Amino acid sequence: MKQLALDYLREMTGNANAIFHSDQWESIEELVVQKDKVLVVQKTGWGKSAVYFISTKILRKQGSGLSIIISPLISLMRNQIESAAKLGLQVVTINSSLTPQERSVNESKLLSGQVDAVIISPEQLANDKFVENVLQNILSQVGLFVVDEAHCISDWGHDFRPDYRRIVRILQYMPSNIPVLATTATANNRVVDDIKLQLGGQLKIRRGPLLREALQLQNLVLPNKAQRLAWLSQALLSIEGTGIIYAKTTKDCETVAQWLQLKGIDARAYYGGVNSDERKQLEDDLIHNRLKALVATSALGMGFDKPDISFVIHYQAPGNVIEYYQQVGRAGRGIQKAVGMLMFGNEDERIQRFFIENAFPSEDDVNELLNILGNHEGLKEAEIEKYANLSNGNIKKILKFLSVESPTPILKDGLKYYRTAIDYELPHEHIERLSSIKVKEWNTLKDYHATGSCLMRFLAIELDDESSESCGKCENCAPENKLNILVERGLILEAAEFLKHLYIKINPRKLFGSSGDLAREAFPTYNFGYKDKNLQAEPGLALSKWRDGAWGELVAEGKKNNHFRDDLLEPMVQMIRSMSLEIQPKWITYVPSPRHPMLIKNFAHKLAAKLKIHCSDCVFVANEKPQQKMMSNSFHQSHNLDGAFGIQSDQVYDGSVFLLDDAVDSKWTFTVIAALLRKNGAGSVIPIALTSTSNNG
Amino acid sequence: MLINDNLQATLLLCCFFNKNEVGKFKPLTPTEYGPFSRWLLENKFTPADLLQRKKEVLELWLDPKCKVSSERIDSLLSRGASMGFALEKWSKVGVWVISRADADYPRLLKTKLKDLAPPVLFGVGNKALLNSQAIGFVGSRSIDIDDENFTEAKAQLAVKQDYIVVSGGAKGVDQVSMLSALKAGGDCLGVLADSLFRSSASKAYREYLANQQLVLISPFYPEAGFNTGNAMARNKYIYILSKAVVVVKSDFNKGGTWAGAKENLKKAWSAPLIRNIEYAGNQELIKLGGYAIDDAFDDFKREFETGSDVQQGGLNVNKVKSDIQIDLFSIDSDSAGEPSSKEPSKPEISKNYAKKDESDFSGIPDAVTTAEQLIAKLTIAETNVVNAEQQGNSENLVSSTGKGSEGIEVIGLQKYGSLLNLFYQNIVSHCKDNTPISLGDLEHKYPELSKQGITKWLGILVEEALIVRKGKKHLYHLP
Repeated sequence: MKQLALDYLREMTGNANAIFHSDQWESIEELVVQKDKVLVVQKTGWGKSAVYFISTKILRKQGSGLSIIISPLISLMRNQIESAAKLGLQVVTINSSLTPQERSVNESKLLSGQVDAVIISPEQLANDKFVENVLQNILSQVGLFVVDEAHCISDWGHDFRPDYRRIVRILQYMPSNIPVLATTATANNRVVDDIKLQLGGQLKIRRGPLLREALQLQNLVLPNKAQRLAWLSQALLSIEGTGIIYAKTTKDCETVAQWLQLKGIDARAYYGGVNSDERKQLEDDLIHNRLKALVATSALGMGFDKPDISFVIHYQAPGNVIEYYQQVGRAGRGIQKAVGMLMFGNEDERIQRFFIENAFPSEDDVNELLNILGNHEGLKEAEIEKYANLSNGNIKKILKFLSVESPTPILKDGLKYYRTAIDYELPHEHIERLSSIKVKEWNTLKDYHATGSCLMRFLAIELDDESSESCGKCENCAPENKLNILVERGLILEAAEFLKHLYIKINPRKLFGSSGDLAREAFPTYNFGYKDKNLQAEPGLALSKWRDGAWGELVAEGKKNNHFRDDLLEPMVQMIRSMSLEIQPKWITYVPSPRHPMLIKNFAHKLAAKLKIHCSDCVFVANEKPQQKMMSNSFHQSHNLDGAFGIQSDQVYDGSVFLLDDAVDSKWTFTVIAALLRKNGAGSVIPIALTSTSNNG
Repeated sequence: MLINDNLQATLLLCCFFNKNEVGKFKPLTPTEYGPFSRWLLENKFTPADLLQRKKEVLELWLDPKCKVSSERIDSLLSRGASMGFALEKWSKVGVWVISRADADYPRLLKTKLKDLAPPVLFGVGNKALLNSQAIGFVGSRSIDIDDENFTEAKAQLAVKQDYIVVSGGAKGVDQVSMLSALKAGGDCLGVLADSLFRSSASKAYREYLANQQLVLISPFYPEAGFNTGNAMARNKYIYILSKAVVVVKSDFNKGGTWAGAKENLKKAWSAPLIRNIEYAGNQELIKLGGYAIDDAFDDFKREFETGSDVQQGGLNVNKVKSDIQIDLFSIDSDSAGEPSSKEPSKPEISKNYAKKDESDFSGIPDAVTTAEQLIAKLTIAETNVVNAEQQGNSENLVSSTGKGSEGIEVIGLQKYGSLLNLFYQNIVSHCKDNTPISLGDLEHKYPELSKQGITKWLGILVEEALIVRKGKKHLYHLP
């Protein structure tokens, strides 16, 4: 059989002299002959896909059913499918990046039994429709079950994903007659032991060296953003090849990409919120070196496989060294030399604390949601919003967290969630343990950033790869290799100025509720329908982010002193000019405040004078309502505004109008007043705000 | 939930894991699994050996009836991934599974059904209640206030006398008896025919499941949908698990309550306590030997005779023709009680249909599955039939089964039950353009039915002159 497997390997690689890497054949044998459960810990590039595709080929020949491969590596899949095709294997993928058409083609292939292996992303297992209509039809004849990125199984893994909690239990309930392959490139002993404990003692382990020879590592001390931006734009002029810049938030990706573009460097932002076609295009552009760099969050996933990435630079620090190893390890796979640079920003500590503190839902919120479910015979997600004053994101997070608990206090049937009879308490000890692990891991990353010894060896030791020696090329082993970039003071000042003028987009709401019923319930007074294009606001801008270290600070100060400084007028005018509107509005109005009636009114009149347009006081407070910021979710936010405002129609003018508020968050206030203005004869309504307090903007 | 290799193998052999498997796989029924597991034991194998040494085991296995083929076992055993997904889903809401090897498995099921006791039971709630002394409650789904008061009073009496209440969890009598007992602080066992998974989070039961007053079990996989066959098969477990069963209200000669009560009279599983009201089914059951009880009844502790040889004789004589369907579903227990009836018997069609039914349909050992699957295929038609029956409109099935039937002559068939009717109508729609249908066609159409079972049904239809057999070949057409 080994000869057969070797023939397949040669067919697959197109290389008549190919031989197995160490452990490859052994793993295949354990799977197809002994039907074992096998854990493979090998660095990326070792060829784990050869193991599961050759095993699939052999098993299919023996009459087994198809292989299921659970993998979050969407970007990896396309290459893999091509190599599997060389073995005559029909492989399809199911993941959220497929278009509806692609997805339905793949699903019908699956259902008609034409498929030898299917690669499914983990979150699809929580998609009831897919599970019931497609997956269950193929589950009954599965010949091999593969779990990629298996370190996610372990609580000790750096990259904990809720869906893997479900996967590990599924594996526990599978009988011994089905072979299982778990693979990872980043697992230390503790993670391996934990996976072994969870999957049972029968697990065979195949482990290889993890050191990456081509990588030259270096750390940078550049605490503020302007310094880092200036350094980046300067350094990218001298670093050859193409690569990746990692940032922690979507907003930071956009900022860095914008800055680099401004400086003539072809860099583009890549994150989960970018639509999947565009992401595909961006990956492709990088692969074919049509871009200098992608500025990405960790959404530029595991397994993005480009052999000639020559740099990976972290604009902000990752949460731990294993995540760092994995991300920096994308560089230098197939080339002789590549650099990995880690910056460490002032804001990183705060970002990490936020991630750690918000990783789990709070006890009060969980109890509130469970009480509500307990009082009903099944509720849809949008209905939960009606009863609970919890944000939609928070509700989603709690439902996700609870649904992978076992035993779980909730049961989902169709679209509705039910309270089960299980007596539930948040697993405090578990949560505390995980949080303290995260804190410890973060401290280790800081140690890495500060260490004076070999950087690669530091990483290898953290991964329990004891075979490694000093790399001889990192900044500590060979200081002469260090990349020295001289950054001019002028460039830093320019970057600081750039950071001040980052406007936040205000995209208007298109719907008055998540369903027609909910819209009617939210607006019994105004009577808004589910959707009305004629009442919509136009896209607008906010000048700053609340307490962003720039204009956001002045806005916060103004709110506190009940007076906005005139210093904010000029930046607002500049922002309005940047909007490049086809027709400049001839008048402006503002959102009146019952608590501080003069604050925004005064500023609006001053701004109007500066713009040389008219300011109207046409919007008035009809009913004083509780403060909008006390409302946590969309339903409550919208309902709270019903009847809150009135319009003096004799003061409404023709043509388009600016609608000014000091702060924008949920956009409901803009949405409601815009609709009222439109109803009273105003032209298009363009919302503008001094600051955005939204977390997602 | 701890699932050892033996239980894993048993589950693979005997259960569906999701709705998509229904119709595609044929898990072993209790009547098939019983002999197979006995054979394993005799050959010093355990079910777990099917996972580790499958080839070795199956090489030795030769099914005397050619129904439990090695291929069938093999395809059932290949559903490991399916089982993993299902058990994960079920266990996390608190659903557990036990086999006959478990200490908690109800002893009464084992002693009264032996090999034919359900190989696995799914459940949620307090397992310790499974071996408690119990009083059962059965009756109609639609009940009035008097029925409700009576049920409540008797359920409370059972609680007062330290019995748990056993019922089926359906609307009407079932739920009233269970909730009355629970509200009175008593314990309760629900034997569900469907939707155990969903019921685990039902608002009515939640509190009682949480405080250990309630256990719900089902011999069917937890996501099984409702079907008449399962509901009927479930009834017998209520009788078996009870010391006495209160029949609150039963139709005469139709419906699950009637069928179950009559079966119990024959098998003498538990004391039949029939509420003495002017209702045809109740009166008939009293005539057949049930104990009449009324509002004044106040003691479940007294001894009731459950040995009902006398009635059994009577029953056999009076066996009512219309309950083919009932016998079909009760076949497991029939065979359990009378292994001889499983012997292939020569059909004597002309003499006595009733007698024939019993022996003929024992040729379909997996009657429960058969019915389930057949019904699953014909859900719409069946719903109509059931509705018609509920409305007492059983005389004319043509009107209730909708248009496609084009004036089919079914009046004479009604006495065999609605399943045969559906079977017949399917033949009619196939043959209406003068296309004959072969036995092979029908076997293909109904993979769940045994060849013998199909032949018998065809025999009846020929006998009733509804179809004609062409020569010696198994080819049939309309007259």
